[in-house]
Amino acid sequence: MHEFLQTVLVPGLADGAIYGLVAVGFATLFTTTGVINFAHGQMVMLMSMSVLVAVGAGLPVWLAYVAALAVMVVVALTVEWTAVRPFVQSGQSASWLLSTLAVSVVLAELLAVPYSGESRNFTYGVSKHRFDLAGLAVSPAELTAVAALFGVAGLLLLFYRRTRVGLELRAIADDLDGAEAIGISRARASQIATVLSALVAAVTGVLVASTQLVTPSLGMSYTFYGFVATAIGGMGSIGGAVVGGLVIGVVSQFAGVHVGSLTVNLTVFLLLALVYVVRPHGLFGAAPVRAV
Amino acid sequence: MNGGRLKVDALSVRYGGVTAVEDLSLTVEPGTCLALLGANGAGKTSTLRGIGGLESAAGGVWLDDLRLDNLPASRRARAGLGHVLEGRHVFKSLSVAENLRVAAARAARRPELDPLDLLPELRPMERRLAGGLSGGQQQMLAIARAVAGAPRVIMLDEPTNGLSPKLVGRTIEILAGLRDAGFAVLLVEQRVEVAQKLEADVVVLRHGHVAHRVRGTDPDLPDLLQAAYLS
Repeated sequence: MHEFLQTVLVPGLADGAIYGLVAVGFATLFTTTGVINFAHGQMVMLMSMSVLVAVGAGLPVWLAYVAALAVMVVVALTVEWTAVRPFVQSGQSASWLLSTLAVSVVLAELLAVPYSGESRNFTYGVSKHRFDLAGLAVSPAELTAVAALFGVAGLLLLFYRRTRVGLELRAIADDLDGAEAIGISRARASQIATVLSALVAAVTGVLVASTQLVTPSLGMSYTFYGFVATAIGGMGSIGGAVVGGLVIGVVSQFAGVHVGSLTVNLTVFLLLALVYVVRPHGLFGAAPVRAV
Repeated sequence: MNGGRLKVDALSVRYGGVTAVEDLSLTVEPGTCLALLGANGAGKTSTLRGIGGLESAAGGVWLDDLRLDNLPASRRARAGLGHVLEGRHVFKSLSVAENLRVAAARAARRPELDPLDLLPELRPMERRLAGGLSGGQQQMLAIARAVAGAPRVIMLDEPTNGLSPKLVGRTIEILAGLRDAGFAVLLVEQRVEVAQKLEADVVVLRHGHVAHRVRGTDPDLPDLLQAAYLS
């Protein structure tokens, strides 16, 4: 039992928290715009790369974080303007799939520029040194990842339920024409959702960098794992993203330890296929309402 | 004063190569009701959506002295152009109270008319999700939501569509109340009796053009409509 907890559950939940945060970022944008940003994984890596570059340029760490956040917001607004806004609640999935994938490729190329695509150690985040907690070796970074997943998801749920802007984003998600007819701006809502998603990516990026080497090419991998978590949890469901991420994390860790490291991706996508067969709209996703 | 004057000049709405509305001009004064009647496809809904900015359109739209046609739909709404869309378009995952709150939050001024005073039947269902309401209740909510946005002109697209005779009567009462409160009311309808009971000015549309302009009380209106429908 102890071995299972130490080799599967602890690292699985920590990885799953990261996948869950990526999925929460997906859901934040998808809920309002109906667009899945396939460049989200690159946004995750952009945060840690920006901090590294800023510190390398001589900025103090706190200022590097501020600069990195500014970069995230500027890039997010650019992505929103070019790849998201034209397709807000349009149902043109082929169009936004291509537009956000194009952005993902561009960002991946740009992220490889500063260090020629090589990995870098990130020492400006949460400590990855393990300590003993109730007989299990865990790191502050792993605990922070799990806490961040529930914290970010909880804050977002409160935001959507308790704030005026949150209500407006839900209104746009429900009915774009109805929202515009009462004065809610599609462009502003799309911008807010994209920036929120980018801020989630920023948190995720720091946690990714705190648990492993910063490698620009990891962005696409996080995109796919986050997407699978989103699909399993249900598109647009923040609670589903949390559950989906944790399930993916534990299942992939179990497969890696007990079946073989080469079977991890296969297992994850088999799980996705199984969920789609049993619940085509994900564990917490709502089936579209059909008028009869 | 609730109402403003809506003026539309030479409005045209096109979908690709298809012209839905061409060169349509109309004016709705505060405290009056103008009804657009006509067969399916005559251009009634396209006219409202063009005025509201939900479809791209050529031509001028003014609310009093404020030119609206160069503004996006959301800013036209905030300027005072209320729009009850065909098919209700309530926010189904929000409660009735949240539907009203989100509309009021975007309003540029405080509404002089409390939507729940106009539609007290919504008070007992404030906490219910809009998606769980009946079609008639959703229609009442759609009207209340438009009023919550403190409009000066209210456009309603087939508000009696699919309603029971009792609710049609109630809707006419509400529209009369809005008109009497000073709002300019622009109405799209299939039922001629709604325009008649509201004593509205009537514009009969045919193939996107104005076929007739008459009073709703004109005894020739049914014949004119029949001719427009059968043409």
